[in-house]
Amino acid sequence: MGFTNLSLAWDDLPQAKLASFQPIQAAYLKVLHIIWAISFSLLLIALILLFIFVEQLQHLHWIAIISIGYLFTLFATVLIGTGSFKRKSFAIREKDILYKTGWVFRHLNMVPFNRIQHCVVNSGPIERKFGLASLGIYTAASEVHDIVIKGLSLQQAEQLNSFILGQIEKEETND
Amino acid sequence: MINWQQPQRQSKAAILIMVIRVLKEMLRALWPILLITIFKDKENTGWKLLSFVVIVTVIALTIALIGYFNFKFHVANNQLIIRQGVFKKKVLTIPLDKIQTVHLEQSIWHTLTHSFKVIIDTAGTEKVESSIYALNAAIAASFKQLLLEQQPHTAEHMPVMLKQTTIIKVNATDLLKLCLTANHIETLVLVCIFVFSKIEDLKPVLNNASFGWLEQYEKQLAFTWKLVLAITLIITILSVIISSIRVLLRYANFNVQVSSKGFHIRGGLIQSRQMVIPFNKVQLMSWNANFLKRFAGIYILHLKAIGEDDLKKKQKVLFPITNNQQLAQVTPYYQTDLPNVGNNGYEIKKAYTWLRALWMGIPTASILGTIGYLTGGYAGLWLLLWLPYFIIVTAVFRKNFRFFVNEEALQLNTGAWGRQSVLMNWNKVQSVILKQSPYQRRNQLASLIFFTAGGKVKLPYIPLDDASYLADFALMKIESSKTKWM
Repeated sequence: MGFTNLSLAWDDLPQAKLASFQPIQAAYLKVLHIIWAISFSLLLIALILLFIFVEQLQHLHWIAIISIGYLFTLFATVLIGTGSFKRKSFAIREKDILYKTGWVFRHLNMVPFNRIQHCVVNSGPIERKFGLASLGIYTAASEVHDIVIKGLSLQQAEQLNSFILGQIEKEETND
Repeated sequence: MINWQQPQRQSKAAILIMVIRVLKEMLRALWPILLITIFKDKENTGWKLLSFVVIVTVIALTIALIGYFNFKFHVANNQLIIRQGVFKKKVLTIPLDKIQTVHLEQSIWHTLTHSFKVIIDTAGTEKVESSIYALNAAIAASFKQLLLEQQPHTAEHMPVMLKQTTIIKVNATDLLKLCLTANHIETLVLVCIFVFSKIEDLKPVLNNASFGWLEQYEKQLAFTWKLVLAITLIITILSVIISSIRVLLRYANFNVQVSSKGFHIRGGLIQSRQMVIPFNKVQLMSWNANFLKRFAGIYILHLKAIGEDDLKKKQKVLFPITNNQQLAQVTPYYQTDLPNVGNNGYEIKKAYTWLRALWMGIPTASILGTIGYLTGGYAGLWLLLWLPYFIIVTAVFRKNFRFFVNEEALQLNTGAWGRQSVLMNWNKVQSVILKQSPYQRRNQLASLIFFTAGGKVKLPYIPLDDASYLADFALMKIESSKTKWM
């Protein structure tokens, strides 16, 4: 449609689509596999206990319906989760950070450094085992929409954290 | 002259206010139990009632007195420090530059004791909110001034404004228009919810009482159109009366003034409220009108400040605009260069209607149809009419959707039956998201969402190139701007 009221041509702007995106660590897929294995095993145990103790569920049609539901959820989680893992990537530009996520529904998050309030590096027990961490980036935006980049190496997350904090400090000094 | 660096107590009126507050809370929780006790065992009712009143009053007074003596506040090292707590002691430290707004509220009890309740709002992810129950009127005003003096107030585009000037005053005609065009359906729903919840509370009492005398009328009543008409008329009149009372309570004596400190909003019939919103705290500005207000030319303007989602409805900064001149007087304090001036704006794609019908309309209609069929058989399937209604409303919404952009701001005009406009300065944006569903990817479309500290603005189903360009443009504006976003 072209925006007649805006003077800058698209070519004159730094374009997010041309940024070079880095994928997250491949080891993060193993973390996802372990998390899915634990979650679906616990769910399976809960369902088995339900079938044992609730007599009304001890009919072939209920067992079939719940088993199909379970397998479908498992299949969808693994398929969508793996697809989404392959698309997760981030780009650090001079003044902002970009993060791509989602496989079926794709999102491109864009956060300028001068709007970041704080960053948090997190590492859960499974992530720690693979030397991974996640980096949470928080702004003052309402309706809580901040980005969390999962599957970074611990060193990468800490470096990014210091880099972003340095950029924020630089922006504040320039102001 | 008060030394704010020394710990201060509230006005003595705070004891009365706190007693009333504790009494209200206790009565709200205990009244069904009280009624049941009295109705179930009708002996010694007077003694029971008296004992109840004495016990409750003594508890309320004790809590209020402990609360009063434990509550102290002072300002030191650019921080407001409040020590309070009855059972658990709490120390609240608020940096003065984090204070967003300071509200002064006056209930009927405050009016009688010449005092104000002071409400202090802060922003950010670690949101803090605190209240001082009662301060003498003069002290409250001086305290508010002290708190607001620490903040930068000047908005980027603010016209030069040295003395306090009134820009909006709600007169009797405006009040009448507001009463007639209030959201009567919302009121009706609220009244129904209230009545049904109270009936639930009273069920044990009602079961005990005899309502046999009502049954004779049941036989005499025929379900005729006259009855339906009478009930509809009574409900309508009741809704209009209750909505009008709500409007009067909120907008009587209402006026908005501006000064170099920001917007000064005052109003209220019984409970008088005063608010000051510094210009730079306003993140988004929106104005909307329901179906009735639209024809009366009335809009409700909403100044969305930081942490808007966490605010209760009565703390939101809403005020009525009864003509276009008033709107033109308010918007320049946020943005002087309105994007919709002199252009027709941009539409969103027609696919929006059909995809919403597919993903939201059909699933909801299926659930409604199933519920209707299970509860009323084939006759219950009339609930399926919700689907064509949903599609018509969505189609009208899409047709009316227009967005406008210029170098400084983005503006949206939307609405199906009513109308809503949103104005967002580029430099208030915190982050941007570009979203694509599989359908949007195939058709080179995208949805773009701008997040601010006061809420989000969404442009659904626009061409991908336009969405990408606007996202890049917004980032460039944010990153190159030297103006603080708050």
